[in-house]
Amino acid sequence: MAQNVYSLNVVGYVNQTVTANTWYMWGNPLNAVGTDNGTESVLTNLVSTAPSPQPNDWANSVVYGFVSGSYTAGDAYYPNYGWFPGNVAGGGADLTPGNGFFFYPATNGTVTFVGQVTTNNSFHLAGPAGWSLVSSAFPATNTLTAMGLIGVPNDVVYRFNKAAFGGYDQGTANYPSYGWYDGDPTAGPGDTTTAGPVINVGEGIFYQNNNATVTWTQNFTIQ
Amino acid sequence: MKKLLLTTLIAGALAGSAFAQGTVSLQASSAGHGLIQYQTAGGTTNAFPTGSPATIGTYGNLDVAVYYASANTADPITSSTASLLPTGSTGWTESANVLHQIAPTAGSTPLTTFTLTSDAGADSQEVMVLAWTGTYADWNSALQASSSLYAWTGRFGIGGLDWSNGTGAPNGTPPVASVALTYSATAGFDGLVLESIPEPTSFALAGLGLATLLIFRRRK
Repeated sequence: MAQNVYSLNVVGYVNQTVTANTWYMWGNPLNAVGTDNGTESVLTNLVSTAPSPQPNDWANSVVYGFVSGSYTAGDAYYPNYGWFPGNVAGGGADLTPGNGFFFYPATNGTVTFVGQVTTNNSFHLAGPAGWSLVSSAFPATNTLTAMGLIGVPNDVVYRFNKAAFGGYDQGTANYPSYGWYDGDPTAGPGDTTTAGPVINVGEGIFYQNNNATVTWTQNFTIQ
Repeated sequence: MKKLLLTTLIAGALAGSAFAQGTVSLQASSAGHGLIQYQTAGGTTNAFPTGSPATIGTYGNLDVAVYYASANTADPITSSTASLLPTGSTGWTESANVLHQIAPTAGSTPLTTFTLTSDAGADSQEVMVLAWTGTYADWNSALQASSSLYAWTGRFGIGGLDWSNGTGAPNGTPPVASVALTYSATAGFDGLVLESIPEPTSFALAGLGLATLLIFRRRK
């Protein structure tokens, strides 16, 4: 007797437009199933704006991951070769959804992430005074709390400001009996905007955990 | 609340400064630029073979380091002459790590972050890139041994002898990614050609040969 086969796997794509020689702090919004989510598996759909786009247009593009408080040595795009190291086992950045990373393209163009939607994820945030570069594993625009980062008083979140390399916003801190305070001038008694800033699809953020190591979880339902 | 925010941010900054250090990165070498090469006794230039560590026969493994100093520190090395470097607080300091690998193709450097331990990070440092072969821990030791192949930025007019370069701050608040070394044919890094440094006696013999040749041609 034939059985019905159901699949809960949802696949999709996300486009990111980039400008040459500009830093981007990103997260991979879609899981490259069957791979280790290294650069050679995730950053494969690269199309420059050159009249005749070639893979080599991306030569000297760079990716840095951030693991256990330190940047990875970096992955670079080599002409006629591709990404190196390219895979996690070889020391390359781990772009699994939920991890943040820096991307520095060498050309103007479009990066297309292709893969499966992740509905469950855990943010392991080392503390105290620990730094984590994270992103929502789920491809949606959400506030910090909606993406699972509930926060504990004294935690701080920084968004990258690509207008100037090394520049970040002023930070969003978490306060006792309040929540995330992101500089809202009306903050105070009665203010309900305590969910933190809205994080874009595929955007990475730095999370400074000033408390004990904690794990936050994401659970989304696709309807 | 703003006071608490300020206190939190300052505390974070102070916590970071206790481990302050700067970082710079060697970019990926691409065909024709930024390659690590070596010159044999016959004068042929070859791409350094791949390996980790990458090695050349009896000369041993490759060592590539960034040397850094505060702005305007004198650099005794010239485009034609290698020299020992002054060290200490007013001299030059070697990066905490040294690159030994050539990958993924001959002559190519993998993207490498060098840690400048005594630099505060997120500032500017005077830098140069030096290379040698063998198991010597630093440039001065290798140069004194006089048995290695050597290279430095600015040699043969390739790149700058030294230049001002921004640095990253991995322990900053928030952490700042490493800053790539300036990539320029005249004022930054654009590859290295390792070679043995001729002994003074070799220079003298070469000069004598040239003088003899000139005298011989005049008599003709």
